[in-house]
Amino acid sequence: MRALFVFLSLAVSFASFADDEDFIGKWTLRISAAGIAAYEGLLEIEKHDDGLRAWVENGPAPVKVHGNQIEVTIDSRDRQGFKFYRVLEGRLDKGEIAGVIRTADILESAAENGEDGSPWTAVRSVDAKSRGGNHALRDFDGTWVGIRGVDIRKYTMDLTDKAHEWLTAYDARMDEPQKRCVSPGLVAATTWIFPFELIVSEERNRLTMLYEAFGLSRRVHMNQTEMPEFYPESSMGYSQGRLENGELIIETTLLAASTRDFNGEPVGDSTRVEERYFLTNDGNRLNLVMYMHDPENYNRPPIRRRAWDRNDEALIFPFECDPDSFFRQLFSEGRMQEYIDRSYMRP
Amino acid sequence: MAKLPGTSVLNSIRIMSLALLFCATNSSAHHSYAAEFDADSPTTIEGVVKEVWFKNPHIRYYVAVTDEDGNEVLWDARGLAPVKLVRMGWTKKTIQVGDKIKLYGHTGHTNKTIMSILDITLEDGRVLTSRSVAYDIKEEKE
Repeated sequence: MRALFVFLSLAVSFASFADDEDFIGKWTLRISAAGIAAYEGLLEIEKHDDGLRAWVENGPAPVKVHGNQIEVTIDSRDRQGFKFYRVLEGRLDKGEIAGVIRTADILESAAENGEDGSPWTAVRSVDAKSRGGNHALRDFDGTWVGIRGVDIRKYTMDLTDKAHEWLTAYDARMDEPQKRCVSPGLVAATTWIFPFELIVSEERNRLTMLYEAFGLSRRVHMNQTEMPEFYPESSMGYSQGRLENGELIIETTLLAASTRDFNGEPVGDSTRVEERYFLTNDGNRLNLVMYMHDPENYNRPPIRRRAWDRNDEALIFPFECDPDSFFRQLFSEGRMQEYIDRSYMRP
Repeated sequence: MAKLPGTSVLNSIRIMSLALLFCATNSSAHHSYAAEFDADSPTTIEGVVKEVWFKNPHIRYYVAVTDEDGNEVLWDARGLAPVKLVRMGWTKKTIQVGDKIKLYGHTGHTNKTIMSILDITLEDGRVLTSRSVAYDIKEEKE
């Protein structure tokens, strides 16, 4: 049956006269899986001397094109940190790509929402100025509960040589900050599923964001043009925000060096994080697209996404953390000295 | 609208005590398990709980398991963060020292007496899953 499908697909493709040029550019990916919010992502295809190259969420993604048929392979991270592959097979027709997804090397523990065989589409990316609607700043106030889906969790990013070197030396068993109850940092924490509360104080021109994850908090200084002179670096950095076309845009600098994700990809101390929050028309779903600008470590800025539903009755639980079990394990495995000797991996 | 368990804790716990029986399909974690655990070898062990460590960042149960040679070996088994488990009705008191439990999960790449828990079967047959995401669970009507 599958062979017949491939044969028919190829036959159709030969008749449609599409070529590589038709795929070049930016596309908005959407993978629909039953029971969860659709996965979304940026697919960018460029033509180089060696043929077409593709990136998903600004991480490399092998691509094959034959006529109007395309296959994009996305290495992805499951919820436990294990890698699996999403293979998007589709067909370009009338300026849009549509097809089905199959997954490979998926684990029992992952079983990523049973998305195998689900439909996916890609449409030309357009200017997102209208997605913020007419929302005012106060509409963002509330308690927000993370929902499943949305973020593709692209596994591999487009690293510089410096970042490759760091990643090769990284050992998550000992170097991962949160294992010893140290803040995972802004990039990781804001994209986790834990709920958070966003408090808008218009009279003080400030937002306060209280995260359940590790009990983190941050202040966002609205409509501010100058930076304070002696503000210290920290895992959550210094944030400045503004409202543009109903979209809340937050830019954060003064971030302490940390890691971007479970794999240990670096967040350099010159990183600028751009968060773009926008609401659905009814104001009850909050969406985030985050860009991490760190040219020392990434040739293209990694993109992460997250969405939350409004639930102002939800409680934010305390998150007191005790590193005792981490150190106990190191001791029992005889790795305590090794841990101490690699302190340079814990900036 | 999605209703977060925890808004009415007792109600949620009552509801989720039933939910402990279902087998969720998603794992959730904020640590790099891939670096430490072997995804290809899910294993089942049975033993007696020696210590309950119900704290963030991840709960742990230290479990005495008798190996093939008849020796007692202490396993270090970990699950999700307590803030996630309590929303499913899995609290510090759910499993106590002295309980006999069966654990299913991934063992370490090098340390074969550590485990990332996927499921725990209690003596009464209830199955607790340490895989569920739980945050956008829609509260059931009574």
